[in-house]
Amino acid sequence: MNLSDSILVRRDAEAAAAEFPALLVEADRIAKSVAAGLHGRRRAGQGETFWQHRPYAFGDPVAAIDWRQSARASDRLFVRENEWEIAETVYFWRDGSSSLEFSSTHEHPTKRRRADILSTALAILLAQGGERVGILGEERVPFHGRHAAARLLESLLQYRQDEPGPPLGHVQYGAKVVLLSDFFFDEDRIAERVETLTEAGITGALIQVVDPCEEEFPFSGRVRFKNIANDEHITFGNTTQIRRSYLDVFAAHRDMLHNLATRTGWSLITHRTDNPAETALLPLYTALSDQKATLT
Amino acid sequence: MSFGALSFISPAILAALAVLPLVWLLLRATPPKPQQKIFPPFILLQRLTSKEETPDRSPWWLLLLRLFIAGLAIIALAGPVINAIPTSERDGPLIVVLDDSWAAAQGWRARQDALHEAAAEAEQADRPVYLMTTAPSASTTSDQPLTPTQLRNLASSIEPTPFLADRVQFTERVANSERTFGNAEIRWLSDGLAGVNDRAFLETLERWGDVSVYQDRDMPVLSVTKTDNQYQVTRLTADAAWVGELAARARDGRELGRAAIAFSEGESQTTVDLDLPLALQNEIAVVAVAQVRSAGAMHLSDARARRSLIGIVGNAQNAGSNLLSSGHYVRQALAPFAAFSSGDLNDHLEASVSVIVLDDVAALRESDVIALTEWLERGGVLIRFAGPRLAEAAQDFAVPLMPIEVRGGGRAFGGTLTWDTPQTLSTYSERGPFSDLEPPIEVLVRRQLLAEPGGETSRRSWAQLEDGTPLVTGQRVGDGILALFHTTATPEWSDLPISKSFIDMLRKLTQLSTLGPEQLETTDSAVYAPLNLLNGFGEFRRPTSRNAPLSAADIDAGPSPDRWPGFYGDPDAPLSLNATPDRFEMNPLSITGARTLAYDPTPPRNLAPWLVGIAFMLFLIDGVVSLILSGKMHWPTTARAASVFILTGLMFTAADRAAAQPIDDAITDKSRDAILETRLAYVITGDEPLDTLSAQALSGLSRELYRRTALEPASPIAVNPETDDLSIYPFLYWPISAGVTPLSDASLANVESFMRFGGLILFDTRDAEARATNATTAQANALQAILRQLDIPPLAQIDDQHVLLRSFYLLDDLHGRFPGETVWAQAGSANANDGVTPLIVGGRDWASAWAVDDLGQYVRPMSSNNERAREYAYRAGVNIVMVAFTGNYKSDQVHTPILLERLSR
Repeated sequence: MNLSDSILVRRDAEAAAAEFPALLVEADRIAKSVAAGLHGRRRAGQGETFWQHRPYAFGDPVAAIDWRQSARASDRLFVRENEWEIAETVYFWRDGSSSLEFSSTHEHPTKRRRADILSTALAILLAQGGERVGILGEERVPFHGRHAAARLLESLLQYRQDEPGPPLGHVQYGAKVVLLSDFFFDEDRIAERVETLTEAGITGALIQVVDPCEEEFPFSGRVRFKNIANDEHITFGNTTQIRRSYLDVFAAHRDMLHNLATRTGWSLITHRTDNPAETALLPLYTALSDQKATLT
Repeated sequence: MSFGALSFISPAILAALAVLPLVWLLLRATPPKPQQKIFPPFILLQRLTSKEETPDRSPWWLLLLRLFIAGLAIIALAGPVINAIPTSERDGPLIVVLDDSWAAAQGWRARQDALHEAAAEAEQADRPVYLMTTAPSASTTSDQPLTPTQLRNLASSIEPTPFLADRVQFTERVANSERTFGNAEIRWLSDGLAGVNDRAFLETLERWGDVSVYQDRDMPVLSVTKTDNQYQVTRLTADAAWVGELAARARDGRELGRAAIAFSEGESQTTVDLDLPLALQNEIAVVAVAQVRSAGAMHLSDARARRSLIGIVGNAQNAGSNLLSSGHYVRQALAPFAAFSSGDLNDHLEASVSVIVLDDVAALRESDVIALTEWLERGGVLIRFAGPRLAEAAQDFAVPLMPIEVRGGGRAFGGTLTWDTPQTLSTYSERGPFSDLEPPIEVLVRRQLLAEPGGETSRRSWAQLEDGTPLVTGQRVGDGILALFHTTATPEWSDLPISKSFIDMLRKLTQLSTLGPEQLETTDSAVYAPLNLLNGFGEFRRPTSRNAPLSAADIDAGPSPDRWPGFYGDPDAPLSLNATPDRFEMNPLSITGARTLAYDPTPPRNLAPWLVGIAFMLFLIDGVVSLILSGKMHWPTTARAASVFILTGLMFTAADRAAAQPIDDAITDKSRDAILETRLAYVITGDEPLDTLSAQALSGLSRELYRRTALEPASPIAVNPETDDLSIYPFLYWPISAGVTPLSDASLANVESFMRFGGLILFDTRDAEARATNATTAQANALQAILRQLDIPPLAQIDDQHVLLRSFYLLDDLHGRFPGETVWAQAGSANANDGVTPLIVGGRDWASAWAVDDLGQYVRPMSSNNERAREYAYRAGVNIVMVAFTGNYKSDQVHTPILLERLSR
């Protein structure tokens, strides 16, 4: 490694670090706004907080009987149940391809930034709930505790990816996987990876982050479209004319994702960068929670 | 920059046209550059590749269309104007050089307008303005610049002079003064007549600056000269055929007769014979071309040119017309200047001849002598010739009616028995009427009646022989003259009857019969006071103190600044000085190298709105075509929609037609709109400026009506008698322009029914000014052509009791822009339509007096530049409209006294 390389690395690191607090703060803000509307797991189970009383049933250990509560009733015994609390691991994969480095206007962020914010905010929420968060495909111990989100974000910003699609890494059985991408790559690859994960007993959520221009195709006239990843380009003489067919293709792509999610039991959440991040975070969080509940 | 009649306001913009081919090439060579877009869902786009490239090039014809639109737009921006009035951006002085000759008189108003225009331009641009005139008169050439107001006043008052433009003198004057004007703009308002050295004149002007030459179009410039008893009419331009009239007028203005002047195409001179009785011929004072107001187009008759009626009384023996007859030589001598009465002395006296020749008549009856003496004293001229009878009679008794006493017998020279050689006529007496004749040459007298010497003889001798004996003696008797030739009227006694002197003397004596006997007393140095002088228009004016009296020789020398054309001398027998010399050639002015303009250019027409309109239409077409090409508009759908639309429209109109089958013609939209409010109407002539003027005139009149009367007319409307229903309008203003096409039968019926049912038409030929000389103008001819076809009541001049003059205001006349010239209305009081005249015919150009523009400014000046005249014109208009609306109820007031009387009874 020569000098210039090390300088480059440092500059990248500094750029990433400069991004870091702002992103974290924003994610934190969004997480809080969502957390204010959430309460527990709403399931009885192993935990420390009271969940509900239920009538004593045969086979319940006597120690479980809440004598104080039972004393209020004349002829019945009540068992005290605590809320179900379990530490889960949620693995994140945020598409590292250049396809996400795109924003059609300056008014809304790039897809990558929005994906980072979403994953960090979710991580904050999860960490507050005692869950562990990790990066899919990285041989690292999932983070937990107060700094889990910050560390996740740090890893996300450093995350590099060689091939399209989520990597196949070691994932604990019963863990959750959150895939953040625009999924504008080979559909078979997405399906294969998701199915592989599902076979391993893993469920999760697909979050498609798209730019409004990708969904609406608001072009007119003669346009030369360039691929962001390479130098490929296509020229259309009259883009307004092909809008309808593009929208059809786009819808077909989304249908494919939807079918995949339905088939595998995953959740599909679509999000546009011109909408606030909260609109995606809340359904994402609830989707994960529901899946967790169904697992039990 | 201009191409013929087309010119551009800002031609620099046209340079942009050069870029168009370049644009074409670029458009053809490179397709429009696409927008570059990064697009992450590239994979999705790849699935669309089947529809990738639509043709990126517009078809060539669309490109051509667009280039054409661009070209039109560029040309429109450059401001194309047809017949633009050339504007000058000069800020140097404006010099107007005016040919104020009589040749310019016919088109004088055009010059005045040009002067007004120059004044306006000078005022606008704050440029000094000069006026220089070329005719040799009390010149108005200004050495100091004029203010626009001065020029305007001058333009209103300036008159053409009765002289020709003297450009040589002008050139010399300029050459002497060596004046310079920096960067001047010169407008030469030419009279169209070639001068002596026009090239030098033009060069002189060009030294000062840029010269534009104004020339008349189709303005008849004519001159009239007289040779013998015929009038030569010469015209300047011999292009088209021209028909006019030559009118002869007496001194008191009576018209004595007319003769047609007809120039065929290419003919520049014609001879006109005024066929009048001799008595009338001698009364002719002025012969003028009726259609042309110009001092050149008229001939003033000199009293000396009058033809006398001569009676010859000879002795009965040798009557007949052989060479020996006594009267033969007198007839021959006087034939060109006189007519002869036939019969005896009494017949002559009854025919009131002015000259009686008694050829060798001695025996006169007492009654004849008394009659002759009476006739002499009234102004007759009695010329007696000697002869054998007279000589014989003189021996016996004193012959009556002789200027001197003569000896009987006579005297013979050169006979075989005499030693005297024949004597020659030597001199004319200084005092006699022959004093101004050429001295006689070689006239041999062989016999003579000798005068008794002494007494009055030498004083009354008018011509002597070499030895001093009188050959012609004469005397004034009362207003008449008695002359005696002491030799025969045949070559028997002398060579005199076959000499030029004979003609001269007889001619002179004959002239005395017309000029009066004062001629006898006058001598060479006699001068004639100016009597009536011409101005350039050919109108007579009183002489001023500046016009000095002239001698006969001066008068014969032709016009000059000191010698104004006109009549001089005795009012009954004036001498004339004509504006055109007897031998006068007119050549059209030909100018090379200078800009020539017409006085009345065709009005400019701005083409830019049309071009922009066309470009816009093409642009719309281009838009539709582009839409179709880009697939946004689907041709079949569009066509279907359009056809449905059109079909629906057709069905509605068809249904409409089917439903309404009126018995009468349907009321047109125009009529329906017009009838909702009372309004004045004018007839459109197709001459756009005239129609505009009519509209403005009726707007002005409507405004005044609104202000002054209970009538509140809506804005006036233009009607076409061919197509419009006239019955809904109460009043029609009908301006007549020259060369109007005859009306069709339908419109004639329309107009007739309009008049029959109470409408009032005001026919205006607008030619009162041109008709100052009582001539027939082209407009009058056009009006006649219309009226001849119409069934109209008899017309009469409106008198001062006419209801038209009392319907609202009390007026003395129906004033218009021009004064004078009679106005005609229905004669008498017909019972139909309440006695309202169905038409008023006049030429006073009411429209110009009434016209106001949108801003309320008067459009045309009054002819007299007197705004009070405009007020009268408005009053006349109010009266006319009042008559049209209220009928003749005002004229009922004629009977007011009777009604009052009845009431009181």
